[in-house]
Amino acid sequence: MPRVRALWDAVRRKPGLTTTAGALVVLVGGWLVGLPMLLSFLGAFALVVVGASVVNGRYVRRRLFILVPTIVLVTAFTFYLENSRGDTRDLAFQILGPGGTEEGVDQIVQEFHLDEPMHTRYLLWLSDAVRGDLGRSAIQGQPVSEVIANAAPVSLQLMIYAQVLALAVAVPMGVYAAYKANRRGDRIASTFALAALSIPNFVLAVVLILFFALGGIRTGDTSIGSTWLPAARYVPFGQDPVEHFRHMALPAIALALGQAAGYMRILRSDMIGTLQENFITTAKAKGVSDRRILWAHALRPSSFTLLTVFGVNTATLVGGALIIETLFTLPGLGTQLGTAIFQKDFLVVQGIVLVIAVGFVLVNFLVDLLYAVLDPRVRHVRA
Amino acid sequence: MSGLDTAVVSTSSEHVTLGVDAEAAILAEADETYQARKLGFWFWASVGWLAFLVLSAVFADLLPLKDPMATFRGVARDGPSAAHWFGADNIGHDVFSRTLYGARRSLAVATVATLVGFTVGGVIGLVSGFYRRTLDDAIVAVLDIMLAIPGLVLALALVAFFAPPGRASPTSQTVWATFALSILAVPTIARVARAQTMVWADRDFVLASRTLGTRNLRIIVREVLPNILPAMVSIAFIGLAVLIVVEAALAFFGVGDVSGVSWGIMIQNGRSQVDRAPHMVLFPALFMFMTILSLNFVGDQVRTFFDVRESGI
Amino acid sequence: MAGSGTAHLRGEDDDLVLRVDHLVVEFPAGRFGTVHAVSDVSFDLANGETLGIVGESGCGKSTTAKAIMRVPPPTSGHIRLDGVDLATLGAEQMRDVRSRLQMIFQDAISSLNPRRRIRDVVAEPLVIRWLESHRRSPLIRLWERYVPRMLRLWRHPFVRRVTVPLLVAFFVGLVLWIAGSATGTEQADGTRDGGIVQAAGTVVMIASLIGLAPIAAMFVVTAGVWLVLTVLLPLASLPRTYRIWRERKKFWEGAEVQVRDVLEDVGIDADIAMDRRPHEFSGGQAQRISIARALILDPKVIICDEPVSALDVSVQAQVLNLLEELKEKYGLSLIFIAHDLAVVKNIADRVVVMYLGKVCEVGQPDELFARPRHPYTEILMSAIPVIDPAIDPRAARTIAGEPPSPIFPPSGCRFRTRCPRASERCAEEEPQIREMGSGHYVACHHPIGVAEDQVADTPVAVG
Repeated sequence: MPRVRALWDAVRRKPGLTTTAGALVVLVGGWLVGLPMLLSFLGAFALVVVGASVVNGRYVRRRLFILVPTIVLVTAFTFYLENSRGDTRDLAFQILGPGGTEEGVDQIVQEFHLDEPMHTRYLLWLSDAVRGDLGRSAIQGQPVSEVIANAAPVSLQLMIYAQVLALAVAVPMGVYAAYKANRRGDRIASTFALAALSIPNFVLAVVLILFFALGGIRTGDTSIGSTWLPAARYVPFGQDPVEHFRHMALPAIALALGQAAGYMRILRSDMIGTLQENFITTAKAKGVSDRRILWAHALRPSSFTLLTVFGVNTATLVGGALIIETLFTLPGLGTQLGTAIFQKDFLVVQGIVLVIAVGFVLVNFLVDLLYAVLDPRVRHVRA
Repeated sequence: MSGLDTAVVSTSSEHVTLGVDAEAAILAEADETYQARKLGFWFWASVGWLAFLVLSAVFADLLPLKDPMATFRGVARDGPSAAHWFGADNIGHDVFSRTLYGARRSLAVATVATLVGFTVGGVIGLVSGFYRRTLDDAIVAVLDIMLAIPGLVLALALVAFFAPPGRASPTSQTVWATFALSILAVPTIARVARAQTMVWADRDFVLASRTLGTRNLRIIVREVLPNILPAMVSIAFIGLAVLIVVEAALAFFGVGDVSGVSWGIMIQNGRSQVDRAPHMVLFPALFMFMTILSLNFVGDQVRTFFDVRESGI
Repeated sequence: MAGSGTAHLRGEDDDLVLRVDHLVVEFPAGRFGTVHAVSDVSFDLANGETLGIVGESGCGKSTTAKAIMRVPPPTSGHIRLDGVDLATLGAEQMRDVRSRLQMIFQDAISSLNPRRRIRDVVAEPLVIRWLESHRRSPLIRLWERYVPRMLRLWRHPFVRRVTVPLLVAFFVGLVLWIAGSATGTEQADGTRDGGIVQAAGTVVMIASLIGLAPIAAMFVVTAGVWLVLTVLLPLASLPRTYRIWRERKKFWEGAEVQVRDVLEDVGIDADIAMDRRPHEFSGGQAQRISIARALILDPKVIICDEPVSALDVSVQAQVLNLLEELKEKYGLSLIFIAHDLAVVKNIADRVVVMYLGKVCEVGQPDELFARPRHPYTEILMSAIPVIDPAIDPRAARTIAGEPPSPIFPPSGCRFRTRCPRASERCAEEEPQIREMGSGHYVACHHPIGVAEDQVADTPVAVG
């Protein structure tokens, strides 16, 4: 009993932290155990909402109100988009592919309710979606939820690796650049960051592939480059961890570099501002070491903009990194979405858009929770 | 608000939440320690590069360039040489002239989209930030929802559905591509405009103007607008950079008009040949990189320059 | 002290330029209630007089100033300029009146647009007057009368109270329908019958849509009308624009002369200053420019909202002297708001002491200093540093704590929570202003220097 009570006290004292941890546990555990994706998502989300409302109920309730309309609007919009051109028989033909017969078309029309008005079709889809039945991919034949369940882990892994890598590079560099503001060290770091930002990431990907996977540039007998890291295929973690990371390395780097540069600049800017504040001067006067000032005192108040941007990026990347995945032929949500759009496999598109919308909102909630953890003022003041 | 430094956005086309970093930086307030106030050498170098690019794109027909669509025999996949400065691609096109002609399309589409986004987004942001209350709430809600969809996905979807490759005319494709890009640009520019308007409209000089009986329209145009322009121009430059990348990404996917030349198309073509003929990718990539770098840098400097002047240091 | 009452107002036959009666300014403060910034304040301003208004931060002085200028207009009360009640004026007439009533602000540099040059900033009042002198086309005037009214329809609380629940209801209905459909039984044609939940969902959705229909219709109509008008307007204003454009040169020639004159009057060298921007000037110079802007229309009254608070002491003296000079030259009457009593003592002919939205005491500065009657005034006076080694500063009386929130002001006399002389009566009854000696008025149940038994009987004169 005392252990339970201790746990409960910990939850009460730091609701944000514990519920986030709990949500992550549910997500990962659910995936490992084999729960349907939807259920573990719902569980994690519920925990996140609970945590957030403990911290700041009113704000959470307001955001919650926008949640359902947002998801509905986003999915309705994509639904309308897909079904807006061509009449139903054309659509049916497309779904059927070449060699479609009249009976086949009739069947398709029946199955997909193509003769009903758009809003009915949308509502039917939505009610099925809530049960986890997202339909069946016309092109691939599998249920959409299976397609998503197979593709999502890949995208999530890519996102996690890239974001972690980006932060790991950006935070130290940002702190360093702020410390050496406008002096040599900063100038070099900032120039690097600006350059890194300016490389479009698909260009970077191609260049990386060239130099690390395909052997680089060859002039005569010499070559600058290597073939260390592969540029195609995906090896699941469970199958072979080393190969998994080898295959994910280039994509993660390609994605992370631009992000890291952006984060570094944001952190640098905020930190320069913080370092000019009086409480830092006081700390210095008291003899606190520079290192401690930077990391223990100045970092936390300077991280808000970074957190916001980080959150938005993560939320968006939940939907897969379209180009990187395509380039490196990773079977993630991005590639699935891309091919589905082109093949007009709209149930897959709808399903993925739903996942994107839900993931987006969920991550934004998490970001808000994190705000409360980082900045005690927010816990009480937020209106 | 004095000079910020992080108004440069990641050109990761994945999350084309256009200029999120830039916008966040403009919205945050950070003080810079003393920085060179003048527009230095690198600024003018960037401007120079951009000018060169624009001029060569506009006047490409007048320059002694080889026909970008013509194939030359026997030079396929050759590296840079005297005849072909940037080498030739796998079919035998001259890469140098294609690179310069390719600038045309990328710049044209992105510039038009940025201008549209600037105007529409600017007006929306101004109105929203000035009048506040319900109108503001409604507009912010709409903008937030617009930002919820990953930009590239939205652009792809729009063009793919309304002007599918192979079924729609090249003009229609270009128009839809431009339209999609404008839609991407509007929310971020609107948010920056709104944030800036809210800051400036609270200042005493607006109140002073009201006490004179000035009408709202004049206050918005004469008092508020000149003060928000630097931030907006800055983010417009940066937005332009991002849109160039998105346009290239669209071309990369074969969406939008692929019959012509553009950097994205060149990189897509070159991708499969990159180990045998890396120059096919490297040169357009280099041009793209330098253009984006220049735009980012100029946008950054513009804002710093104007911010400082007003604070009079 | 909750200074209600008008005992201190002077009669009609006195040469009054401005008279404020029972001014009330309140704003909603989100979910906390209302901010009672100014509660029943009255005062008047005679021709050629300088009226000082003093008080702590948050006592409502600046709000009073803005209310007089009607940016935004007060919640209630009468403001009469030369006998004309400003609330009765339409927008057009108000604009005419504004030329007689001007204002200068505390932070001079931020009260000037950083992106405009001084010549434009100082000429702006002339420009406004000139622009307004050109009548707008009837279409535009129609627009101006009816469109704001139309838009104000939307602000009606009824709209918000009805729309939001209806929207919420719609989504609730949607959720119900989906839930019902999702858990229902599969039918032959592939749809699901969700039974009662689904039916309920449909009903709620349809009901809310019906409820929303009129609002949506109203929205479409107003938006349509607004859109059409806004598009047509520029066309309708073309003739006027053309006329204005033709007159530009002549106007600017005249304006330039006036700007130069007024800049000279405030002691700024026009040749150097006119093409510069505000940030190139010091605080004192910027304040002079701000004064120049206020003077250019030859007003009768200038409200000075803490104009010297942000300046160095030496510069303060210069600006104050300038104001005195200009008062003579232009025949001005000033309302001078400050929290620094030493400043007010020098410049004011009469002083109003405010606390938490109410008037405490009214009188002449010397009188107030020598014989403050209100406990609050006494404490304010004793807070002025006096350079006399014989006086022990620790003996000065200070007030404990901070002023209470204007959202929940104390009952009865608002000062009672910090007043050393407070009694039970102060909590129950709001003191009315009454005369304590010639021209000296106080709102207090226990004024200083008056024997307790004399207090209750002094009549309250109504002005």
